[in-house]
Amino acid sequence: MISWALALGLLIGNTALAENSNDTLVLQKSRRLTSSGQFYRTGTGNVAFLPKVGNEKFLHRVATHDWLPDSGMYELPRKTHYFFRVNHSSGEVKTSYVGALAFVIFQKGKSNKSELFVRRNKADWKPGPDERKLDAGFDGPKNNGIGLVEFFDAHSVPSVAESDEKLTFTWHAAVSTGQPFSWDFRSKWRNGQPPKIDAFLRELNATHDSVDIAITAHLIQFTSSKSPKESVDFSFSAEEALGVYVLVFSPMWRNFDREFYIKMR
Amino acid sequence: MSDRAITKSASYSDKLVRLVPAEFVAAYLAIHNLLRTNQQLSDQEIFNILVVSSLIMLAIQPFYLYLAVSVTSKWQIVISEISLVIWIISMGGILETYSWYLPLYSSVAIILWTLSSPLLVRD
Repeated sequence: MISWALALGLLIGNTALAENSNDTLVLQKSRRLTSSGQFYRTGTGNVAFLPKVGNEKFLHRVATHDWLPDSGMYELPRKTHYFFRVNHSSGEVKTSYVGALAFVIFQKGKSNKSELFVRRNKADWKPGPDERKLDAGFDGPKNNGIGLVEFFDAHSVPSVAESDEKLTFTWHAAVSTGQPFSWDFRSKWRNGQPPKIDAFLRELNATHDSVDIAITAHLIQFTSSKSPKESVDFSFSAEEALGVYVLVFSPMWRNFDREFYIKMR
Repeated sequence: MSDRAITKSASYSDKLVRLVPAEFVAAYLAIHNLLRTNQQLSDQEIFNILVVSSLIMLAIQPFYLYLAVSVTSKWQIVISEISLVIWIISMGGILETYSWYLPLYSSVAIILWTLSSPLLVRD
């Protein structure tokens, strides 16, 4: 009898958890690395937030990396410009991708445009809204280039009521793109659901009437190289934001398959 | 003859202690901590300030050793200069921006250098 009651309790508990999984933000913790060498030894496909970089001209000399070691959502400190670096240094040539979704919550009436840019050293292209460009590095192993596959426009949401719809749209846009090799991952992630706007509001102690939200999504395809000199960086701006969050994932990470914000169907 | 000058009678441990550029190491450490706690500065700006400070200290140290603490041995001054470079690197702030560098390297370097430098000093 007791075991039946326990089993029933567990079942109810698990169901409740599953239903609420997108309503509560599950935040990961970054790990501070104090040298560039430490970051380049984290393995290909790893992403770091660069807390001491606020301008593109400082990107070539970076020591402090806040490494985002697992797939998941990270809260970022308040600043104007956010820069990230993808580790593509590897002993062998591998092509993979990193997905990044930025969720920026603004006070109502403040700027809600937040475009996610991808930057690459010596790049001859400029990503922008509606611009799609194939990665030259994908053409073959001889070209160890790194670069952009596809760019998604930032979605500034006209009303918070539409936020959940846009969040879901952006999520699906991010996880359903990429090269054919990533189909296995995409099919899993496409079934997922992103966190809902209420989860962000709860985290920020804000209400629907007091905020605007901007969401950007990006999938960065890159081909690893032996040299870390040409880095692949992405950035976005979020001046005067109430809260800034980034969701990152990569099939190259050990916990890529772990479920977060996903209800497998 | 000052306490810092290395004489023929100086033992290995005396040499070891006298070759550590303590005043300049302390100065560098103070500057480094000051910059590191400043949230407004980028790594590039910290790097620039530390490199300039280090060069100034390297330029001052020979005069300091000769004039202030009466070290006359050229060898000792040269070894002290090399020591200061290795200490500065090991305290951080300069090589951390290079992808090939790990802090472990300078920790090993400073141990090996500190142990071997007394053997290099000629009277």
